[in-house]
Amino acid sequence: MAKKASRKELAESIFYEPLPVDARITLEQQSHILGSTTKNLNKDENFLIEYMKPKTVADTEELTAQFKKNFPLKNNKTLKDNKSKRTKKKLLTSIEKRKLGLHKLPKTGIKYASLAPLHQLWVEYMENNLNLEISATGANKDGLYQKIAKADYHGCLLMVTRSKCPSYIGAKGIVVQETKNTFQIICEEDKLKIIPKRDSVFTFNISRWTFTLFGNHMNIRPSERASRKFKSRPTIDL
Amino acid sequence: MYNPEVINFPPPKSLKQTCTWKKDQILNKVPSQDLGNHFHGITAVLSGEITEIAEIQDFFLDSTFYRVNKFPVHKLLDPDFLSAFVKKGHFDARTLGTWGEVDQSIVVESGKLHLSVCKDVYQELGLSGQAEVISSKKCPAKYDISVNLLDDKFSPESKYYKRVSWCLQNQTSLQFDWIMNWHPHDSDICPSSLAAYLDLLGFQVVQCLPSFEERILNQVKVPLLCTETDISDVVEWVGAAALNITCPDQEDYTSSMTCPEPSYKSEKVHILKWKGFFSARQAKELLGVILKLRPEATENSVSSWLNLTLIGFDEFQIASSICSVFTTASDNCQVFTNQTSRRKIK
Repeated sequence: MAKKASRKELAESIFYEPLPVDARITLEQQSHILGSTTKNLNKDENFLIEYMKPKTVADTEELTAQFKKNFPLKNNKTLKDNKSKRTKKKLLTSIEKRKLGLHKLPKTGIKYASLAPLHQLWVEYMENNLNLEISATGANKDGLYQKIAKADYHGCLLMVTRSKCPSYIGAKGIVVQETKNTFQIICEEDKLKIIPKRDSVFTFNISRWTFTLFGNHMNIRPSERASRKFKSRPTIDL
Repeated sequence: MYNPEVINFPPPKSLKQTCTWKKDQILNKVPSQDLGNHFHGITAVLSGEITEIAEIQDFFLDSTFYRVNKFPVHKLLDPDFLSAFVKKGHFDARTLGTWGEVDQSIVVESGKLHLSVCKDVYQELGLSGQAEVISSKKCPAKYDISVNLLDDKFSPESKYYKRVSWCLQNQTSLQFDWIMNWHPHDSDICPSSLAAYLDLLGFQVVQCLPSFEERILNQVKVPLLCTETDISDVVEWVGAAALNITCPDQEDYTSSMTCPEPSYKSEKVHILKWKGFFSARQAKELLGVILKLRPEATENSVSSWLNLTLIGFDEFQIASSICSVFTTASDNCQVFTNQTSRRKIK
């Protein structure tokens, strides 16, 4: 044993020169303070396991496995990976839209006067569409009636002349929205009124003609109404 | 094809009621659901020697009423008319020549405007009302609308007034011949100012006076109102007497109608009949006079009576059509009412 040790010392002495004494002392002191890294880790782990053991039901192996888990502070995913997984823009569903009231118009705030240009536009559209000077004098008015039934009524100045519910009678305003079952009009008092088409009769004027709409016959969505074939119904009782 | 049935209708439903009221209470009940508001006929059957008969005979001497032709309803709601007549007196008016059960009719009574309109007019009118229950059918054909003209909210500046006025103005079909009667609160104003005002507006106004008829029956048997007598028999006898139908002492070949027993022989029976347009206020005054009279003293003095029968308008019935009041010497009055209607009787 003594031989082996002497050989080692000899070999070392060939390659390394011994450190100067003061440097060796400082190094030794520092290593004493820091301690070896591997030894320290094991020591901490053991301490933690010892500490946790009486407090949990898990056994030693499980605990060591837990302590070996890595929690990287930095995300190693590359930018390329991120790009390939495109995030879809989140849209509201119809139910959510309805819940939020996005389909609804504000009760107040829309000015009657501000809708005058819309009404003017509608009158122009209707005059061109119906071509009344010619069609009203013709013998067969079926085509005219079909056109009236299929026309767009946004901007029309409607008035309720007959209804099963008396409080709707006399309501007058410019149509701002038409749904399957209602006309939504802005009255002269700048208020929104929602009038059901069912059981109501409406009238509107174009130049010197007055037209009557039976709400019961128009219970269709406006977009569908344009392409619908209307049957003539003889009874007009509400 | 079979001919449609035009004669064999079921009789109208009728509701006969008798009740006993205290004399001092009955006057409060005159303009009410039980006794009616407007009457077209009043009959008084007074047996015995009555000292105040002259007063009763002249009772309706100056109660004129006016017939106004082709008068639209919305004129009643003119601010001038409301402030000058409706709010300053008793204004009573009703449409003439319309049958409440088939036609439309309008009644103004005790400050309220009642309209009875058909379905089509109701749907175009814009005033909310209640459906009249005629039968068990789901779709009502008539609607009743009631507007209180004396309400504080019903001022010409209010929204409600404007709405009612606008609705009635738009409806041209609500134009009728009317009978009107106005009695001002202020006795200095002449009731004929109503006619003057309407004439000024350009309507045709005709002054009408109630017709009066008096008959005296001598030595007739008069039924007594005992507990065992059926009041409807006595009402029948009163009606027969008013129509100048003599009741034979015994049932004979031509008529089985006899005087109900028990009865007594009266020296003199006054039968007074008025026909015209009487408001509840006028009927109430006459009833007040009759209630003060003492019935003829008989051996059975408790059961003798004086009678006043008020006959209501058949059309637009909201009250009984016949109401007969029997006053006796006691504190109580026997009241017989008969309500006849094709409608459901409540």
